[in-house]
Amino acid sequence: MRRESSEGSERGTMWIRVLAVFLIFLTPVYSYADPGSGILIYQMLAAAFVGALFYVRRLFNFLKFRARKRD
Amino acid sequence: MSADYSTSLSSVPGKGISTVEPPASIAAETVSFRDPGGCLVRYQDRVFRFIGASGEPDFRAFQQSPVTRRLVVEGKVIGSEVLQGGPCPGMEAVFSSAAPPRLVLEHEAIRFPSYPFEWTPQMLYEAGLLTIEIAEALLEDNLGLKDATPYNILFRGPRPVFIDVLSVERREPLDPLWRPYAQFVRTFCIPLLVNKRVGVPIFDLLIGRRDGLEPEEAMRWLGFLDSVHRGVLGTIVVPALLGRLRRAQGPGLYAPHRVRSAEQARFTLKMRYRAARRLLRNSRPDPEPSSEWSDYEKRNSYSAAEMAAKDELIRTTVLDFECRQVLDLGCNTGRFSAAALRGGAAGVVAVDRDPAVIDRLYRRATNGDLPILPLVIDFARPSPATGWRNSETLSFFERASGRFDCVMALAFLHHMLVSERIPLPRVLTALSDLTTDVAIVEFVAPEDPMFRALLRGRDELHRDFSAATFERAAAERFDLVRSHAIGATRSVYVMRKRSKS
Repeated sequence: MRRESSEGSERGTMWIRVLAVFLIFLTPVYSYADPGSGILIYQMLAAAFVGALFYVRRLFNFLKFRARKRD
Repeated sequence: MSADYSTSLSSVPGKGISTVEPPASIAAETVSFRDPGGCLVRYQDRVFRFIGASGEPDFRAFQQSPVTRRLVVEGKVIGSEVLQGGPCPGMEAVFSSAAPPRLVLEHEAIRFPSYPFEWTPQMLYEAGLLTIEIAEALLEDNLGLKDATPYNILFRGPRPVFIDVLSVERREPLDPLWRPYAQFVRTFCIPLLVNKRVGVPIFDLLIGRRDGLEPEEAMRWLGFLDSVHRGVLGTIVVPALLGRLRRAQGPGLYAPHRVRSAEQARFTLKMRYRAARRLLRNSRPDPEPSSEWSDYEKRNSYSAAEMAAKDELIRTTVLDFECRQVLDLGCNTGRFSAAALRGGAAGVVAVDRDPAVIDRLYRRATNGDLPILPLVIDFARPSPATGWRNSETLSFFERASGRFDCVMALAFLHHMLVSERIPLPRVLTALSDLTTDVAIVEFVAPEDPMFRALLRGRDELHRDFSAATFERAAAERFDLVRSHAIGATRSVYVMRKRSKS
């Protein structure tokens, strides 16, 4: 059972990867005036995601602490 | 101002730096100049760093941090001493800024600087790992790295060491971004991936590029199967895609980024360093596939006894002449570099033009902790001086001349003579320029099967080449000390450079 589901998610990520590759070949190229920006944008998106994760984790720990205190 | 070079008390402990005599004057070369906070200057065998007003506060933070102290002791960051008394006469002319330097440091000198385009993929990978390790460690003391490029790293034998002390800066506590991350990806991860997936040699990728490869450039080399590969997606494909989104670009992209808490910023940075490490791991080079020369140990024409005799000859020669720094040309497996170490040499620089054999030697040196620095260098077309005004990196000959008291050219001469068509006198002159004392050269006769294989039927070109002509040519530059026959067609000659009278 478990192996099937991991295989499924493997196939899922594979399709996402294929989609990304198609997008790169299909999107129009506007300019190469600022070629270095791609990696920076990637980092900023990741930072936003991680920032959200940070607060979710804090909230989760806070709730866990409150639950323990009630006991 | 009188120059007092007594070593300072408060600096980061170096390892046995002797500031014995102040140089009388400096006709020095400025090595680095891009950082407004300071510059690096090389003078004779010593390395100095001038730090200006803008660089001083960050350097003080570096000096006082217990993390950097530990990194220096572990040999991961270069040691430095602050020179009391400041610059000596002549140094001011070298410092490019209008204001005089506030601090002068002397760094431990690395014997043989090398550059990323001379490294094997595994060396570039290790240098990247060290960069991340240092960035992570510095975070504990609220410090960061201003840049992340392989030019911040030199190799001491097989071990990478971080040399750009001025790259360390005090962090803005609410800043969650590591701006050099893009440079890290461009200069370490992307070249490693293109080398791994497509097979383009590191030299080809880096010799013409100071700042690595952009994702857009790397896309040119990738086929569909490469693009879908996990490591490639995050490093190359997705950033190239994001770079094309016109709306995302603009000056706002580079404005300082602040989050609400210092803790969140640190957490984000820690995740970023971990992601960078993971990205680097995905770019990790495979052990090199075999090349024409990497199976030499199994497929050469020597018998086991002949190899052992050659080993022993190298070992005793190095021992007898007390050679300390050895240059091994055409080193292949590095077997004779190891023999030289057994004879008491302190360090060996081993060069060969085949990246596969250098990679194997590098792994061997790392595993055995041998003081061998293996580099990918074609002796007939060695590394040029590159960079601004052709003087940011030194050519191979500039770095090597006069730095070795023993140069070995074993099973090598015939490659220069036959494949590269360099006349014998020129090869011998080159060897005598490189060594300060001993040269160990193996003569291979034209009847030898390997020689004939290289000739490819053009026998008449080397009809005059014989042991006698070799000895006559060598005697013009060297005193022949001894020769030892290895099999019917080869002899190893031990020679000493004749000092010019």
